[in-house]
Amino acid sequence: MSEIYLHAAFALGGGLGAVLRHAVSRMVTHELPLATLIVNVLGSFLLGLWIAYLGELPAVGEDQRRMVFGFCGGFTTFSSFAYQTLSLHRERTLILAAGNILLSLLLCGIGFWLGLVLG
Amino acid sequence: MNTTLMYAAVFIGGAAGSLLREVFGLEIPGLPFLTATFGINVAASLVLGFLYAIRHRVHAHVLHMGAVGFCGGLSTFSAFMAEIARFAEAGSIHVLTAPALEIVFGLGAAVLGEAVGRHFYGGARA
Repeated sequence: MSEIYLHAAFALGGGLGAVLRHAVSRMVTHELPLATLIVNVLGSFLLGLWIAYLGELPAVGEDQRRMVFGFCGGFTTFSSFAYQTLSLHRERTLILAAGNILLSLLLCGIGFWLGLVLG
Repeated sequence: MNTTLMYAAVFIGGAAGSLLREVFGLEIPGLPFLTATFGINVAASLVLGFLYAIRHRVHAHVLHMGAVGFCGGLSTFSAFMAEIARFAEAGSIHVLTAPALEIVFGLGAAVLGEAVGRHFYGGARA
């Protein structure tokens, strides 16, 4: 498999992840940034699953391996998390902003760990 | 708004951001808390802050491509978690310092990007 093909597989996964993330954000419309929290927890869970799965089945093609890695990163987002945390602080309260940080770290950490354990 | 075009813009931006993440997500030797995701997450937050400040001056599809697609595709929360898990497994203190630094610098970058956007393009109307 050529390196260009593998980069394309990664980019394809990332593009699809971004599209799905946007679809979730259009479905989950809430005054709090719940959509971002949901995609970040789900994406962290999926990455944990995939890493565990690869550990047991290393025969997975490199293109598939990269596409799922690309997908997890494209689906999850740090930049929106950062900007929304900032907006929570400005427009609501510091407590909500801090809560968003702690809840995101906690739930995404648990999600990733659960994926590793179940995978 | 044309939904197909909107999703196409998100896809193109997401694919481009992901590609950049794969190519530039490099770890810096000797500075273990500056993980592979640190630089790209901070950079994406900077760009997102900038785009948000000028959001009324760019076409909606450009905003979707840049803010939703590119910044979201470039930045990652899942790999961020994987890195923290590695520090936890190694019993390293960076399990605390890495996320704290990444979040402080990420938020700071968003503020900076926004300030730059406002400075050059007259600011965002609420």
